[in-house]
Parts: sequence; structure tokens; C-alpha cells
Amino acid sequence: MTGLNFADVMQLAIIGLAQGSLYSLIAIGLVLIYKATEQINFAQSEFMMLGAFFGFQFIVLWGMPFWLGFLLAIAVLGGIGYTYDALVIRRMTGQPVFVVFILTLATGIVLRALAGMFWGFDSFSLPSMMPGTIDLTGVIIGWDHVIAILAAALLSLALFLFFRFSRVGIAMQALSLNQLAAFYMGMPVKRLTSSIWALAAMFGALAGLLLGPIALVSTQIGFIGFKAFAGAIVGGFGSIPGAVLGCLLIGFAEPFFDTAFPTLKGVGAYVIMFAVLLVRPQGLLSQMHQKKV
Amino acid sequence: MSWLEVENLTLTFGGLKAVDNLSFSVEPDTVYTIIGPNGAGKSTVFNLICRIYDPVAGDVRLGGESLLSAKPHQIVRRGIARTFQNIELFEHATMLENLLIGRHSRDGFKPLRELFFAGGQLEQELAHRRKAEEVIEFLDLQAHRHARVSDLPYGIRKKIEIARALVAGPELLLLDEPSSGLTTEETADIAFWIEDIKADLGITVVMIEHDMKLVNKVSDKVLAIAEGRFLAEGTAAEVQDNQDVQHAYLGTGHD
Amino acid sequence: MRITFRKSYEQDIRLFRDGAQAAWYLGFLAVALLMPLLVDGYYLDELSFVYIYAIAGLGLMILTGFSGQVSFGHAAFVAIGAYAHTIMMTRYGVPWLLSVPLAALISGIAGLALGRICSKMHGLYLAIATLAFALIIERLIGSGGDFTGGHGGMPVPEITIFGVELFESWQKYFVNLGVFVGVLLLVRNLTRSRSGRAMIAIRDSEVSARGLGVDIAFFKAYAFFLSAALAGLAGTLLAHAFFFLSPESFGMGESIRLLLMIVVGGLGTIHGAVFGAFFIMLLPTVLSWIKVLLPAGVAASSGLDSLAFGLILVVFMLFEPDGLYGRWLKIHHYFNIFPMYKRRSFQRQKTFLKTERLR
Repeated sequence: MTGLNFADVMQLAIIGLAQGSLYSLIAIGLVLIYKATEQINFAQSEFMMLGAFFGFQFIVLWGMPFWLGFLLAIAVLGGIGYTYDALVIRRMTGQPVFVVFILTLATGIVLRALAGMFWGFDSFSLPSMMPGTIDLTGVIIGWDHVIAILAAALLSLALFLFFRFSRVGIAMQALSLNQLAAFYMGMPVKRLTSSIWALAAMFGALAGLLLGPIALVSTQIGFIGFKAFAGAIVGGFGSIPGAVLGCLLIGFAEPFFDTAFPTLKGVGAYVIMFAVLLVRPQGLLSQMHQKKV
Repeated sequence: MSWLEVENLTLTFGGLKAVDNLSFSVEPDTVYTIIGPNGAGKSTVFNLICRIYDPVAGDVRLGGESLLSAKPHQIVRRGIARTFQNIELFEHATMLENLLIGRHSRDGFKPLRELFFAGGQLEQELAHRRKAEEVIEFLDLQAHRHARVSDLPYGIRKKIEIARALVAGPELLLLDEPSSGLTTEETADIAFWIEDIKADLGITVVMIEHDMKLVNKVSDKVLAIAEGRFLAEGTAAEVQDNQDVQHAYLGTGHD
Repeated sequence: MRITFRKSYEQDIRLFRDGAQAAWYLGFLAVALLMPLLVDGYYLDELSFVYIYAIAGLGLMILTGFSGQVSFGHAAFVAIGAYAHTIMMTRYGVPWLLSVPLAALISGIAGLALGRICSKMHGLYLAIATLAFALIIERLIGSGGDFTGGHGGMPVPEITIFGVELFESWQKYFVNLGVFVGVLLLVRNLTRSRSGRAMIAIRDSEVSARGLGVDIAFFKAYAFFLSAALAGLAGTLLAHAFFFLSPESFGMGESIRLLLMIVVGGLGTIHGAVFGAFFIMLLPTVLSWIKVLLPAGVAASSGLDSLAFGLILVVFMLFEPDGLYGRWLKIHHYFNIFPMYKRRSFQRQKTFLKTERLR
């Protein structure tokens, strides 16, 4: 990689890490749902989009205080996630996985269209949580990037502790092992499943709110959600640490890839994914196994 | 020399020995039954014969030739067809289509002939159909030809799975718990069919079975295994009288 | 109520079960052939699009509907076909009649390559891998410079067969109809022969397909090849319908639309691809009639079309995952056995979550 000095490399690395952190917030939502129900939520990136849009509505259009609007947007998405599972996805229990594929994909289209009708199809940016930059010995980084990295790291840790130590977290893990057994043990399976959807949607919303100040937000940002899919697959879908690791890897490598191969700018994440899958078809930390007969 | 020979077969999952140095052999034109408590490794033996798993050690030979060089999809061409413990039919196809898929190994890949439906394709299809009809007649499945498998009751599906294996024209038929989930009456029917398969079609049957009534009725020889290891072999009565077998089933093997 | 009495095995193998069925389909063909006398150029062009999308849909049906491999990136093969065809015609002077099958072949080979790479992937992995492939292809075409015309795009010459230029709507209509009917026959032949059955076997149970001698990797790759070749073939025709190619016409949205099209039509059936193509082309027309009834503000919104499309899909997935063709079969059945229809005859089986993970 010619023409890049140390400061440039550091800058690209931190931007990449920030991007990867946002991917991993989306991916955590995907993997949470997958682990609990083996369903794939293709509307996850639309949850992210809605999070950003609600934040825009509350903070910019209605002039709420930043933190209030921020938390309210996350709460609203939690409600949407819960309701979506309770009203729609729950009816699909026992149907082939493919039906849920298509259902969530279609939901994504509906949400994009609705968002476009309410907020328009133009792009806008969200106010920054902490404007300004930080100077790390010549490497100048926006606080927004730093916050994205810190938020993702803290939340991953919090999630780990939640699943390890809290009653609800352990119940959710049991659910992911065997739904029917969990039901027989008297666990509120329906409520737990909906809560997981709510949690996933909240992670998506957070990603959207953190992305807002860094990149432009429009109905099309949903498409970066597919990079979260790529990252989760690189890490091995079905494991949260794997998904986070894969997303960080992809986000980190992306800016360098774009610099090195300008003709493939923007699709580096997918090229990397193919490369990893060729070497390890199950991803780096896999938890999928062959079906038993 | 016996026909199907399993020799010192061993398979481990992690540290666990699923099949442990197991040997047995099957004479042609007999019904050979494998019994054993749950988790004894019975289905694993089938999966090893069918090459779904690679053994850690040992060999499986059919007619003196080792099967270990074959890929899973080549096993049927060596003359082995099987059924599964939990029915593995093609659910979204009709029964007839299921049986015709059973003919897959009896024809080669001829893309142009297929796509243009020319050059003897019709004759070939008719030949497959006639073979399928023979089996439909044999197992009394005439009523269900065009029914989707997922719409059919469990007992019929169980029978279709046997039919599909027979359509492939095997010399050795592996039946994984043919009576599980069936009523007493249906199980009695299965017993007749297994005897017919041996006597009329000249097919050797290796069967995993829990229903001792069925085992007693049709088996020429019975093998009992537990924890992947050989326990006893002999006639049904001999094996049931065996102390080790009784211990394995009653769980008093630790005294 | 009409019952088919089968008198010979051939009835289940031939194209049509009996005379009545043959009459129906020949009737449809006759109507299609007479269309240029009945409607004007605009509607002929629309119908041409239906045929072209149906060809691409049939291609995707082979992959997703028959062999059970989902593709989120089929527009890429349409793009490869369209671009290969246009480039061969304009840059190398390849005649139309040769260029079309060659372009389909090139697309098929691309499909084969992707299929080999993805031979071990299922479900989500395959979906994202095909999606990634499509995005990479779109990107490569976009940065292809003069060769592909880049993001600026490239014009498409008219169809020329033996020196005769076909540019009138009705002329192109017959070309598209002819190819469409040909493809229908090919796919029908596939479904009634060994390879087609092998694909269905792979879709429903890989383990027992393997037990019956199906070489899974081979037939998955074959499905990819045929599927991509048909998508490429559709691409060659689409190029002439578009007049102008640009990578954005074959983006991710288009891939998803193709997939949703065959799902709405009815997955796993030939009818499904055709019904889906009609649905997707007629939807905007029907919506434009409905829009008249809506308040101006709502009707003018550009999200309305995709909102309707998404909502219809959601409703189908919730209440009729068998698609339009499945619904049609039920209505047909209802009248056939009237008044004996029971809801139960088509009740969906519910199963509890059966995990495929071993842990």
C-alpha cells in the first residue's frame, strides 16, 4: 500500500474499527434472534434505519434534549421489535425457515416505503453526541468514531454479563437450546422470544443513532446491514463473540481494501467474506453442525 | 465367506466411543437384526456402512470388496439401500416422484436427452415407471400414487420409504426401526413384508429394531450391542436369554 | 367435477395429462399469438416484459424452487447475460442468433463457478453469498470503463436476424414469446426427468438423496448452471427491451424482486414463475387505477408501489405461503368438489422448532 504514512494508516484503522463496531451492533441483533429461534431477521437493518429516523424526529424536528430523544428512539424501537414478534413472527412458529426469510425481507420493504413516505427519500445527518475531534499525536479522530467503538465494546460486555449472570439472560439461553423443553419448564417462551426481538431491534436502533453523525442517513442505509450479515457470517453465525469479531475484522479491513482496490470500492466486505468462507466454510467460530439422521 | 462383513469398526466423537471395535457378518438371503438400548450406536453403524461417517478404524466389506473407498452417493450402486429412523422422504413431492427418485442410480446424466425429451427419454421414463409400479403392487400402495407425501399418514410414509429403497433395486436393505411409530397391526404387516422381501425378492435385510415381537418373527440372526460394543449374537431367543444383554437393558451392568 | 382417468403410464409423463388440459394450454398459446391484433404497442411491450421476467423467474425457480438453493443475487446473471450479449454484438459483431445462446452460456458458466464455490452452503450463508456475488458483479460492471460503459451505461443495438432488423413492438413480442415458450418446454422437460427429480430430492432431504445415489454437489452445480443460463437468456432479451444498459438496472433491489416474484407466484412450480411475472408486471398498472381513489398526497408518494408490494408479500407469507398458484389450486379444488370442501384438506402442518443444530 503505497502513499500512506503512519498517521493515514492509523486514521483508516480507527475509522474502520468504528464502522466495524456499528456492524457488530447490528449483527448482535441478528445473532440474538437466530440463537433463540433459528429465524433470520432481514428487517434488522430497517430497524437500524428506523432508529435513526426516530432520533431525527425527536431531536431535530421536535427539538427534544439530545439524550431524551436518543433513549426514546431506542425505546420506541424496542416496542416495535416486541410487537412485530408478538403480532407477526409468532404466527410463523413451526413454518419453514424460508417463509420467515421472505416475511422479514418483505417487512423490510414495507418499513423502507413507510419511512420514505413519512420522512422522505433524501438523506440527512443526525446531530453529534459529542462534536469535535481528538488529536492522538497527529492522528485526528472524530469523537463520534471513538464513541461508536466504546459503545460497541461496552454493550458487548454488558450482553455477555447479562447472559452469564441474570435470570432472564440464562432463561433466554435455555430457550435457544430447546424451545419445547423451556416451555415445559414453565418459562414464558412467548414473552422471552418477543423480548429478544425487542432487544435486537434496540441494538439496531442504537447502531442507527451512532451511525447518524458519521454517515448520511436515508432509507438506503439499510443496505449496510448486509455488511453486518457478511461480518456475522465471517465470524460464524450463531455465536455472539464470533459475530462481533467478524464484524470488527470486516470493518477494519474495509477502508484499506478500498484504498488498495479502487475498482472494487464498497464491496470489500463481501470479497473478504468469500475469502474467509473458502478457507473455513462455517466461519471462524462456528456453532452450526450437520443434521443428525 | 460371509457377504457383508463389518470388521473391528470404530468411531469416536470427540473422546466418546460411539462404536467400539465392532465386528459382525451377515450371510446372504437372511434377515439380520441389531438390537440394543437407546444410544447403543445402532444407527451409527448404519451411517458407517452408508459412509455418512468415516470410521476411525476397521473395515466394511460387501462381497469381499471394501466400501470405504466409496463416496456416500456411490453406496447405492454397490447394492445397498436404506430407510431412516425418522422418515426422510421428499415431503413436497408425490409418492410416485419419490419412487422415481429411487431409480436415480439406474441411469446416467444425459442433459440434452432430458432437456429436449428426445432420443429414448420416453422409453427410459416408462421403464422406470414400470419398475416403480412393480414395487407399488408389491407393497399395496396403489391408492397413493399422486398424493403428496406430506399429506399421507405416518404408517403409509413408513411404507413408502421402504418402497423407495426397493425401487433402487438393492441386494442389501438396511431398515432403521421399521416399526417405530406404527400400530400393532401395521407392525404385523411390516413383518410379512420383510419376509416377502427376503423370500420373493431375494434381498438381504439388516434391521435395527426395538419391537421384540417383530424381531422374534423375522430374524434369522440377532446381534445385541451396547455403548457401541458387541454383547451377543445368535438366534433371537439366545440373545434375549443372554445375561449381558439383560443387564444392558435393565441398567444393572455396574455390579 | 372432472376426474382424470389414467389409462396408461405415459399420461403421467407426457406434456399434457389429457385432451382437455392440452386444449387449455393451446388456447392460451393462441391468445398469446393473437395479442398483436388485439392490443397496441404499449401493452405488447408490457407483455414482452412479462415473458422476459417469466424466463428469469423460471431460471430462479430451478435454483430456489426445485433444488432448494436460495439466491439473493440473480439479477447479476441477468446482467451478465445482457452485458455479454450487448458487448458481443456491438464490439465483436457477433450475429444475434449466435450471441444469444453464447451469452446464456457465459452466464451459465458464471453460475456454475458460483455454485461450485457455494456447494457446501445452505440457507442464510448461500443467500448472503449470492447477494455478495451480485454486488461484486454490479461493482465490476460499474468500474469496467469503456468496455462495459461503466456507470454511464451502454446502448443496445436492435435485434437483427439474417439481416432483418426487428424493431417494431410486435416483432420483438414474437421473439420474446417464442423464447419464452421454448424455455417453458425445456423446464417442463427438466421436471419430468431424472435431473429435475434429483434437484427436488436435494431440496427435500439431502441425506436420503445421497443414499439413493444423487451426487449432491454435482446436481447443485447443474442447477446453478441451468438457472444462471436462463437468467442470462432473459438478460439478452431484457437488453433489447431496455435499449440502454446500466449497472443500476441490475442492482440488489432487482435481485430481491425476482426472488419475491417467484415466491408470490408459488415456489416449486412452473406455474409459479409465470404467475409471479404477471403479478409483478400488472401490479403497477392495478395500483395506478387504485391511486385515483386515494388522496392526492398519498397517491403522489413514491413509496406507495413498494409499500403495496411489501404488504402483499407479508400477507401471502402469513396466510398463503404457497403463493398465487397454491391459492388457485385451492379455488379450483373448492369448485371441483363443491359443496364438500373442507378447510382441513389444505391445512398446514405445524411443527415445533426442530433444531438442526447439534449441541
